[in-house]
Order: sequence, then C-alpha cells, then structure tokens
Amino acid sequence: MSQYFLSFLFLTLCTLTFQSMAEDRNQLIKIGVLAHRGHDEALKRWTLTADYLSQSIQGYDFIIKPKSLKSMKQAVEDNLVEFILTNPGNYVDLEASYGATRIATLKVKQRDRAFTLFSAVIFTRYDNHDINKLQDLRGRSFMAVNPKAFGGFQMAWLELKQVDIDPFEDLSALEFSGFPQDNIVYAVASGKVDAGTVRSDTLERMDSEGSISIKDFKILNRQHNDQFPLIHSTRLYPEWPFAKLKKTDDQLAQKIAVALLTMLPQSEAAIVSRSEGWTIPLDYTPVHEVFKKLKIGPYAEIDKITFEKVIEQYSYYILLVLITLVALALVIIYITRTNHNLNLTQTNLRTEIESRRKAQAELAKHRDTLEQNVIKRTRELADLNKELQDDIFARKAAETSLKKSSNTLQTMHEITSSRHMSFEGKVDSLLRTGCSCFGMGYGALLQIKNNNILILRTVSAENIFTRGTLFDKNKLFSNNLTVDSDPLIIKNASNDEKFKQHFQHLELGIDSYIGIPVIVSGSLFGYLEFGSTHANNMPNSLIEIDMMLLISQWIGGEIQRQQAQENAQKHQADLAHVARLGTMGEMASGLAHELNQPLTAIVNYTRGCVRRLSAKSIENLPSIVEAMELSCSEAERAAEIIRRLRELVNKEMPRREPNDINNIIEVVIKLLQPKIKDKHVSILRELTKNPPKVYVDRIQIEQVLINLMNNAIDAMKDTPILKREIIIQSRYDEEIVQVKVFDRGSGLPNNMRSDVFEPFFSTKNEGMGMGLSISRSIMETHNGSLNAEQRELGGSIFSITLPIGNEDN
Amino acid sequence: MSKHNVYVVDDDQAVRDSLRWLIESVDLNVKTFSNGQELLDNFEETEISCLVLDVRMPGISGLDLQQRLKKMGSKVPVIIVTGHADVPMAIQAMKAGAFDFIEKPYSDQLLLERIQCAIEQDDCFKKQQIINNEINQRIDSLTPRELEVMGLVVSGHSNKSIAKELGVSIKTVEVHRGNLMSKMQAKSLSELVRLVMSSSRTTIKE
Repeated sequence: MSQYFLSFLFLTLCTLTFQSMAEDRNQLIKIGVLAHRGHDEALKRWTLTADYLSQSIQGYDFIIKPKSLKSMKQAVEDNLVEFILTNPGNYVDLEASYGATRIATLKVKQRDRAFTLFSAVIFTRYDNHDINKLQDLRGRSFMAVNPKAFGGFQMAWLELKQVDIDPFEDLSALEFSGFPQDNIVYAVASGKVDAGTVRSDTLERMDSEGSISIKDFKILNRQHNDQFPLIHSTRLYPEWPFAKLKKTDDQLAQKIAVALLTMLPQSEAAIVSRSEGWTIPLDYTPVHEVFKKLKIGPYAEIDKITFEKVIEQYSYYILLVLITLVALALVIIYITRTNHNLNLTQTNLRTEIESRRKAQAELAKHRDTLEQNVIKRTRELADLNKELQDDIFARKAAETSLKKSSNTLQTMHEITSSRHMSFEGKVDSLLRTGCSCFGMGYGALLQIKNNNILILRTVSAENIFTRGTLFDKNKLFSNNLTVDSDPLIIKNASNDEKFKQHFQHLELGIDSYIGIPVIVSGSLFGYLEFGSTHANNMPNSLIEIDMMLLISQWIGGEIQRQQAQENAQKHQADLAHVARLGTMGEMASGLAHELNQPLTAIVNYTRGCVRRLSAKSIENLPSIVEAMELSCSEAERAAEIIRRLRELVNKEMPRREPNDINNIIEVVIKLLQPKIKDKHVSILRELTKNPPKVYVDRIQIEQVLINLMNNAIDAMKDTPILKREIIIQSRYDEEIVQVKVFDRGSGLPNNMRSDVFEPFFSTKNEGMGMGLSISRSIMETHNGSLNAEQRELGGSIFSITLPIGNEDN
Repeated sequence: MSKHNVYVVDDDQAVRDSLRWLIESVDLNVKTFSNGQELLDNFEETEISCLVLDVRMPGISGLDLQQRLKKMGSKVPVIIVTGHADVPMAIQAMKAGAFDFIEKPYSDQLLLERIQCAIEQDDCFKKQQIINNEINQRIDSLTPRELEVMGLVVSGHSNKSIAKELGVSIKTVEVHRGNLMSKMQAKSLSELVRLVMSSSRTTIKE
C-alpha cells in the first residue's frame, strides 16, 4: 500500500516538474506503445513517429513509452500516458474499460502494399491428410504466440469457437511459442505440432525470405477477399490504432490526428514503423465482437455482473438506509417492552410476597425430612465406597495376572530363541514354565503311537508320569482331544462328570487338568498336558489360554521343522549314496587291482611256505614263520581295502563327528591310488599342520574330495605326463578349514564356471554329470561351500570350505 | 654252476618280497626292483635269467620296459604280470615278444613253471649263442678264397665245377677245401653244412 502511495507521490511530483518545465519549454506528451516484441524494438519502430509529431505540432515534445500489456493497462489507469499506440485487442480493452478513443489507424506496409486490415492464418503441413478443415483440429496439437495475442491467437480462437472447438479443452495440446511467430511456422513444418496460427503475411514474408516454402503448408478455412489479397483464415480486423485517453486534451488529439493522416508514406517515420503512414480510424467493433464472443478482456465478466455490481456500487447508501431502519425499529420495540415489563413486575411482586410466606411454612416442614434423607444417603455412599474398593482389588489382581503373563511370555521367548538348548531341553523348560504359569504340578508332551500314547517328555514336581512310558490311549484323558479342540481345562475333578469317572483321576489321583492338542503338518501329533493332584484355584485368563496354544504351536512347529529337516537330510543322503555307487563303479577296476596286490602277496607267501615245508627243509623254520606273519599282514591290508570300499557304498544316515581334514585327504588319496598310478599323475601335498577338527560326515566329505580329485585326474588326460600334477592343499583360519585341489588340466572356460555345478553338466563322455552338483549340495548341508576358479597358467582350482566348530554348526 | 637269476620289477613292496620268497623256494636267485629304471641300471645281459614285470608301475610301465629292452637288443624272456588284464594289453605284450602274460593273482605253480620255462629258453638261447659265436670265429678265420670255396661246397658244387667257376685247377680247390674243413673243425660235408646253416653269418648261406 505504502509502496503504491510512494510511487504515486513520486509520479505526481514528476508530472508537476514536467509541467513546470513545459511552462518554460514544450509540454511533454507520452505515447504508450505496446512493446509486444520487446522494449528496444518498440523504441526503434516508433521514436521517429514521435519525433515527427514533435516537429509537426508546435509546443509539444512527444516521447515513446514502451509498455507490456499489463503495464499498459496500469499506465492508462493511472493516466501516466496521454496517448496509446497498441494492437486492436488491447485497444478495445482499454476503450471499454477506460474510455480510450482511436484517432487514426495504421496503414501497415506488407508486400509493398498498405493494409489497414489484418487477419490470421491457420495452417498445417501440406502432407497432413488428416487435417483438412477447422473441425479436424479437434484432438490435435496446436501452437500460437501467446494467449493474449490478438492476431497471434485470439482471432484463430474465435474461428475455432465457431466450429465448436474450445482450444483449451478440445485440443490434445495447446502451446504458446512467444515471439517471433516464425517459431510456430517451423514447429508445424517439422511436425512438432499438428497445426498453428500466425498473423497474416507471416507465411508470405518467410517464403520471400526463403526460409520456408508456402507450398509446404495447407491453409485451413481459407478466406478470399479482393481488398485483402494476403492468405488468411479468419475474418479481417482493423490494424493498430493511435488512441487518446479520456482525459487527454481533445484539441491536441485533433492536431495529432491531422499530423498522422498527413504523414507521407515515403517519410522516414513511416518507413521505420513499417507503414505507409496513417488513415482515418476504422471501425473496431469486429474486435469488440471477438471479445464478447470469447468472453475475454473487458467482457470477461459480462454474464455475471448485474446484481452484485449494483450492490457493490451503491453499498454505502443501502447500508446507511438499512442501519437507520433497524435503529428505529429497535427504539420502538424497546419502549413497548419497557412499558409492558413495568406492568408485569408490579403484578409479580404482589404474587411473590404471597408465595414467600407459603414457602417459609413449607421449608420448616421439609427440614425434618431432609435430615432423614442425609442419613440414608450417607449409608448408600459407604456401600458404594466398599464396592469401589472391591473393584480396585479385582483390578489389581488382573494387573498382577497380566504382569505374570508378560513375564511368562518373556521366559518363553528366551527359551524358544535360546541357541544353547536342544529341542528336548527347550520342551522341558517350556513345560516347567507352563507348570508355574498355570499352577500345575506336572507337565508332559505326549505322542500318539497307534493305540498307545507315549510320554515323550515330562517335568514334574509330583511323580505322575515317567518319560518313555507307554499308556493305552484310553487311559489318558487327553485322548478326548481332536485336531481342532480348544484347550481343555478342568479345575476340579469333582466338578466334571467325565473326568471324575476317568482312569487318570481314579487311578493316578489327578484333580486338575489342562490338555492341548499338538498339531504337526495338519494332523494330530500328540498332546500337551498339565495337571496336578490338587484342585486348581488359579483364575485362567484368556491370555493364559493363548499361552497354552502358543506353547503347543511352537512345539508342533518345531517338530514339523525337524521332520522336514530329517526328510531333506535323508533325501540328500540317498542322492549322495547313489552318486557314491556311481563313483564306485568308475573306480571298480582300479580297486580290483588294489585288492589284487595283497592277495598276490598272500598267495606268494603261503605257497612259498608250503613248498619249503613239503621239501622238509626244516632249517628254514624261522623264515617260514616270518613269511606267514607277512602273509597275515597282507590279508589285513586286503581287509582294510574292502572295509574302505564298504564304507564308501554304505547307506547310512549321515553321522557327523569331529574329523581331521588331513586324514580325510589321505584316505581319499589312498582310494584313488590305482587311478593316480594308472594315469601317471603325481600328487603334491601341501597340508597344514594340526588343523582344527571339522564336524562332518566323513564319508560324504571323502566323496566330495574323491570327486574333485577324480575330475582333476580326468581333466589332465591330454596334459603331457610330466606335467600331470595335482596339488592338494589344506589350510585354516579362525572360522573355516579350506581344501584346494589344483590341476593342470584344460581348465574352466569363464562361461562354464557356474555351469559345472549344474546337475547333468559334464565335459566327459562317460559319467552322469551329477558329481559336482551333489558335491555342492553335500558342502551346503555342512554349512560349507564348493567353488571353482580358473588357475593362472592353465588348469583349474576347486576349493571346499567347512566351518570349524561343534555340533551346533 | 651258479643259480639262475629272476629279475622281479614291481612297485608294491609286499608283492616284491613275497615273490622273492616264493621264487627262492625253487632254488632260483631273485633280484627285485621297485621300478624299471632301477632294473635297467643293474641288468646283467650275459647271465641266464628271466624278467617278471608288473604292467602298472609309476614311471616306466611294464610294457614300456619290455620295449626298451628289446630296442637294446636283449633277448631275455619277459613274463608280464598284471592285476587287470585286458585283451589289447595282452596282444600288445605278445606282439612285442613277451614270453608270457599272467594275470594276478596267479597260481604259484603256473608262475614258477613259466619262470622255469623262460630260464630254460634263455639257457638254450645263451648256449646257442655261445656255439654261434664259436662257429662265427671259425668262419672268421677263413681266407676270402676259402670262404668262397666253402659257399660253393655247401651249395652242392663238385670240386670240378668249383674249379671251373673260380678258373683255378681242381688241385687248388682240393687244397682250399682241405684247409677249410680243418679250420671249421668239420669231419664231414654234412657237418660243415650244419655248421654253416646254424651260423648267423648270412652272407655265405646262398
């Protein structure tokens, strides 16, 4: 506000200064010019016209004030300019709003002709066969100069509106390029937009400049007019007007009109302004029509005015009248009311005196009854107080129970998530927790075995059950539970008809009982049972029932997980066994040879003995004994080989024990010795000293190493004999033991490195290609890994790792 | 007379030692080696002997060793033993001139009998070689003319036709003939023919 005020003050001061200057010199007349192409361009085009006017009219100096559409309006409103020179659209806006009046119309020079009318062209690319008339523009993209540009958009808008197209709604895109308009022509030519509109003569000008060819464009809604030979698509509108403002001196306006009309076409001012001077002011109603039809500019609110406008205009008077009327009415009502009230008060006072007297008598009477009521009420309150105390006590009990449940839950969580307890240990702890939580003497996990029930685990302060005992199923009350039974709670046997008659009460002396079914894989595995030889007087909240369910669900889930794990292990063991049988087959001939050695030796020794004994050469007795000893140790050697073989083909559940990895390596080398010899491979051991024990199934790890060694040997079948060397290396760190097998074979092409572990992948002619796949699964069940890499200078490296540690790993 | 030698090459010590035990029971001298190279370093060609080789050995295999000995010109009989015999291997061994091919575990009887046979063969061969050497020495002592005359005599020419052939007198032929008969220590024509036939000097045989 203060800003506006200051600027106003400043401008007023300026005006005063100019006026005072004009008294000595010429009066300064400001012409606001629409600078639609920028400030400088406007000055360049019109300064000579201002100079022309200054020369033509004595006593005045004219200057050009370039204005944007917005600042033009402000300048007119604040009377900062005396004349305006603007486009027809802006002019009619100012005419309608501020009473501007045109005094001349510009004769624009185009194609060496003067035009006082102009129009707009709506066009598309010549080869756009989808758009042939204005109606076809619906749903197309369109480009114009600026939403407020008269020739650059609004003219076309009206034409589109006539064919029922709202450019802001019905086009797929409406873009505004700003000046120069040439951009629109280029955008249409390049296909960036489907169609566009520009001021008339733009296409002709660009064509003559050589930047486009008019033939490349199709003109929509083309109009023909003998007086206006330029290409155009809209109706014709008068060119820019020179206009005076409402307050501008009419005589000065006349002088200017004369000066403008007499401006010669060849004058410099005309040439620079790209015109042939000025003509008499044309009729701007077509422009008004455009604005009315489009409901923009001065006609934007045309439909809404009337009542509100009137109210706004006369609001002061209306308000004043209304206030007076209301004030009058209030005064009248007040006076009437007061009169009426005075009368009423008089009557009321009389009645009141009467009633007070009555009330006094009544009060005396009531005082007695009140005393009695107070005593009664006091008694009631005392009762209520006691009730409240009871309530508080009950709440406290509930709170204690909740706290207990929370503690129990905490304990259960600690038990189930313990890393150090076995499953059995966890079950026992849970049973113990259950006992103390539910106030029971014993807890047991029962397993159904056909017609019997097995006491799988039990914890007890009262020796009811012994672990491992088998009961006839009818002797245990839990037998009544089914898969979807809720926890069954019997607080006191004498209150339960069925339990009272049951073996468990009669023979085992159990008075209170809780039974919950244990579900494994959707079927009834057994029961969780708690009980006591005493009646149970502990309240059982819903939380405790949830707790029972929680324990039974955890146990069921854990058993299910164990079963699944056992199945998986068995499956894996089966697979490994099958693979071992395969390996055995491959190794059979080599092993036969291996077995032949001790057999041959035995035969040799014994036959040698027999010969000597038959020859009765008794003097050889000591050496015969020695030979027999040697023969025996050879027999043991044969037995050892057979035992190794047996172990390899044995089908047993994997048995994990602490093993020295170096021992396993030695056994494997022994088993493969025939093949190693046969293929002339040398083995180089790089074994670490005293590696930590690994907790593994020995047979399976042997199988993996046999596999790796076998592969290493096979891989070197094309390697020169002298280079056939396998390095077997063991090493360890804090966490793992690692064995690496290096060969000098053909190596692993990069793209095959991960394939080798796929089942049925093989580079050998014989063999199933299961070896590495099974080996990897064996390593994974041992929480280890099996990896392959290319060896520098040829060959490959296979490595296995195993975690160091105990059973838990 | 000293005991004949049996060379045993096997990489398995138990097999080696037990073979020694077995073979020594038939009064043969046993020399054992754990690999082929060791044998080649210690082998005495001149003694009557036989070889027992295991096919599957590190370094030089039994078959390779047999080939090498053959290339060296040795005629020593070789018995190949193998833990896992297969037909191609047997054929290869026999083609290379193995004396026999025995599969482990073998009966001692068979092995010892084959060893005996091999040694007899070698004994025979060596004796023959000695005789051959003797005959060759006698042949070497003949003058070229005597050698020429002997060739013609052995091929059945009469003194007369020899004289005509060589362009000398019958008397001269008779002198040569008398000399060569005594140098060859042949008492009759038929003995001379037998000596020449058993000689390894092929040049005079036609």
